[in-house]
Amino acid sequence: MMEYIKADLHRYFKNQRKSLSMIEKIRLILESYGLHATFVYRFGQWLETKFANTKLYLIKLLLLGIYNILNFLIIKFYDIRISRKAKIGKGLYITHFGGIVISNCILGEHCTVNQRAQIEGDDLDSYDELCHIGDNVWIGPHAIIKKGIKLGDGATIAAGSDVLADVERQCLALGNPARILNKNFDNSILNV
Amino acid sequence: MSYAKNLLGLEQITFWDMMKIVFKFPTFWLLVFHRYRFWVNSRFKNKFLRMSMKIFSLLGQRTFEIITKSEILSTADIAPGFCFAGKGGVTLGAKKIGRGCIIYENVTIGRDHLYNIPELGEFVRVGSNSVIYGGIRIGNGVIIKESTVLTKSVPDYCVVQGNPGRIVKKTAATSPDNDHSS
Repeated sequence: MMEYIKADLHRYFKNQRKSLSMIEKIRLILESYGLHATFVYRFGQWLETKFANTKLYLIKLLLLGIYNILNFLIIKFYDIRISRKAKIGKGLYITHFGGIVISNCILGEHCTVNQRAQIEGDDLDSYDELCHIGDNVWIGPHAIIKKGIKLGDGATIAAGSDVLADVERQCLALGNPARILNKNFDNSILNV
Repeated sequence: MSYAKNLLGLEQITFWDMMKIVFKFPTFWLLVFHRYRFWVNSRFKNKFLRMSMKIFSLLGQRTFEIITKSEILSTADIAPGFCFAGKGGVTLGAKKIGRGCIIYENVTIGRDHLYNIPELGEFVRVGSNSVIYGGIRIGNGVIIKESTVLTKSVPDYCVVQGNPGRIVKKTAATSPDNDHSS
């Protein structure tokens, strides 16, 4: 869990585009609403993997209770819903807050999810039915990704697009329904 | 005053109407805290003085950000007569907003990949769930309909709709006070 959290923190510091002092770092941690949600998700994911086949039922129940309370607070205050069954790689960056839904899906490393972006899915789905999203993907604000869509590595989903079909790697998808505008789009400026 | 005119439909407000606005709309308080922060940033040059004056408003700012699920860029220059219609959910990162604008729910106004931010004219109406980004300028009296994604500049007195946004029709340049009746 700690290495995941370290990668997430590094992502938030890097996005400021300047070297930060200790006070600025603490202020950034306190002010980044997405970071709090990511912490709670990582805790839930840790519970899901470490305590899958355990005999310590009481401890698991207690920790699940703490997780559920924290998750409830995140949903009420920040309106960020991340399912603890989702598998998210290192270095998730959530910009702003409000209306973010990341349900059960497979998200790669070094991704960015903007405000009001939704990734649809169900907790009871099998592995093949889920959304498969590659590394270095940038999902814009108000974008909706339907269930079972596959996004390649380095794909960019522009703001307000509604993704109904698969998107290849390094593509820029845009519009409602989303169509591919650029087949070789470098999103390293966006996805710092 | 803009809140009274646009949301309650009043021309002159009494003390009780003022109380109604203060307690009914949390977005009003968000705006108040933003204006205070903007005023402190523009008025005082000393960094330490600015920090000490902002420290009181910081807690209130964060509280109302969480209540309304909205964020406003600290350098956004908002002219008087601005109002948020609806519950909030607004991410507002505009360079400049003219007087008499109304912004509805769940709107995003922000930067593109080159860090250019938009500029809104006077009496602009932005419908709910719409996204505006990039270094564009939106003219006076423009009505942006619901769920629009706008990335190009718009001339004065138009109606914009769609994803990507197109100019649907041009409205006559009426007196600015009557623009919101349609």
